[in-house]
Amino acid sequence: MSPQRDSISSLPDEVLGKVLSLLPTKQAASTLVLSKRWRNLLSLVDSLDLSDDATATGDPSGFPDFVDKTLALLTNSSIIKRFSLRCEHTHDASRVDNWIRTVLERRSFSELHLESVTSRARAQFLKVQVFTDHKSLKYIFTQGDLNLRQRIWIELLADYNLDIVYHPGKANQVADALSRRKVDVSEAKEVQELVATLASLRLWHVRFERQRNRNRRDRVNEVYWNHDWHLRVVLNKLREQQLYAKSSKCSFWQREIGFLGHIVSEAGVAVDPEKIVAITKWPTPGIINLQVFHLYCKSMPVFHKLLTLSFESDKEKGWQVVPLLLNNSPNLETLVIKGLVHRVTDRYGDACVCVARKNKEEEVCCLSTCQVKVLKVSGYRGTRRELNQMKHFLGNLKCLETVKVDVEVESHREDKNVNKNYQRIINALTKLPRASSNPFLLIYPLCN
Amino acid sequence: MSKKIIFESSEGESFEVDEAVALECQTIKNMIEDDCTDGGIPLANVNSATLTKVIDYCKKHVEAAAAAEANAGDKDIYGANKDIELKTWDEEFVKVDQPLLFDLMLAANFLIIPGLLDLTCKTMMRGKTVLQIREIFHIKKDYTDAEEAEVRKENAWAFE
Repeated sequence: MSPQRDSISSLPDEVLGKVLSLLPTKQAASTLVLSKRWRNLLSLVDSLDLSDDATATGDPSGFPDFVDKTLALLTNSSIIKRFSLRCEHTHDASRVDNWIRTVLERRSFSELHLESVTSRARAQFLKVQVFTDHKSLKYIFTQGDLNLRQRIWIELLADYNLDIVYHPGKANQVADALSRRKVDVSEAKEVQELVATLASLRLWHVRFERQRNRNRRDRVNEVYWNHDWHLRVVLNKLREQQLYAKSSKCSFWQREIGFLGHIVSEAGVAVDPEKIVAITKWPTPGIINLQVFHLYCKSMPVFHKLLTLSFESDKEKGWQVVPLLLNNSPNLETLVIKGLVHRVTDRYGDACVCVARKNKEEEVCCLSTCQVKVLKVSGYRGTRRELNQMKHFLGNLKCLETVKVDVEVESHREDKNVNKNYQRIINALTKLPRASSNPFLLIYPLCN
Repeated sequence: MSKKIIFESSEGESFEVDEAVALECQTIKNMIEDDCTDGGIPLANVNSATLTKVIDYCKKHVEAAAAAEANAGDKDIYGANKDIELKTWDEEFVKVDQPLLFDLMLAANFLIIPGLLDLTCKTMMRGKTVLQIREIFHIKKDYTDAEEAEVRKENAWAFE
């Protein structure tokens, strides 16, 4: 290889981009002038290292312009992973703020280092802007009357130099984007990033580095913080009323807790899995007492192994639990129903057609997501309501392959009438519109 | 006994390494996970000299990581020494001539070894002026003097 060959310029762009990323940005920028090859490489840099100390820049007053221009150059490039800013001198706070904001808006951004050497310069980073969709919080620092909750907030916020900015929930993208980022802030004073989302104002302790003793504190879990507050309220109430709790019966800082046979956790109230272990592990449940499940409506377990569901309709009781069962049985293949007549009710009723709903198109019927392939109906008498029910089934069950209907024709009439009646029922059934491509319809007469 | 992976350099020479060492390279790791490493991995754009160095680097770092793990229980000054030792080793490692250094960069980029890529890219330009860089890397100036003045003027902020 000839010693005069310019082999560095023949390296691929991404490697040279890497080389430049590892240099202080100032020096990386100076490579522009090397040759034409190097003119466009600066936009490949994924890490910016900016410093205004005297060895890097002669004149600190030129530094803001330098940063502005660097950032302007990078606006079209896609990736910035790391942004490091070190200030020995004081700069215009709004410009510094702008730089940080510009890099924070990058999607792939992952690391932010801010460092300032003098105490005057430090103040420029301390201003934290908080976005919240609670408009009332805007006035929290100036309003006179504070409730208990607000007072706790003020205690926490008092240490920080921050601006509360009302940010409508609709336009919440910035706050959400910020909340997802891990921000490393190198500061002598603790800095918190406060982000409010729709439901509550949440507080994050940003992982921060102390400039001097390099003390690291982990992010405080938001859930625990809320718990802390709840606990304080409850215990204060107990103290006010002079009530005493037995410590052996109390447990604090639990993620979930059993209460009256249910598990209470962050996610809500769930059935204790131990109590329904027999049901969830049941390979093919035979008979399920619907009434029992009606009581569990809100916390119905999911029956992954349930393939066949058969139930008997009762004239006195409604079908409230059927939609729940269908929704919670993702692998259900066969549905066996004895009798379609049931009490009219408007509760949970989208498995049946008892109640005509106005916005029928907008609602997703539980049947349309159901995977049922075989539908067996016995005791079919061909009344108007039964026919409507069949129409509802056939029109919504998309995976239906076989439909078997046992027609029950009353036998006290004469033979001729029986046949006629039976024909009428068959005709009505075969004319019903069907959602699945071609279900196989089997109709059996059953004469008593 | 751990599984062996066979690399084949551009000259057709075979190198046998432990799987653990080969796993340092993200590209090879993906291949191992996809289970298509039987019969050796041909590396047509890596020559033998470079491959030897790359394997040295991976071996050293795998050993260092294993040693660090073994010592993790009793944290002492010894652990810090190990760190320094590895750093000095790294420094010695990149003291090679330019063509080999570039080959190492290319190999690290191709095989995706972030540590090696960082190491090789880190030192080469730091603290050097444009003129020095031009001289060291034999970069031919293809600007005319007027053009260069223009670029310098446009980007004056970088040369203050």
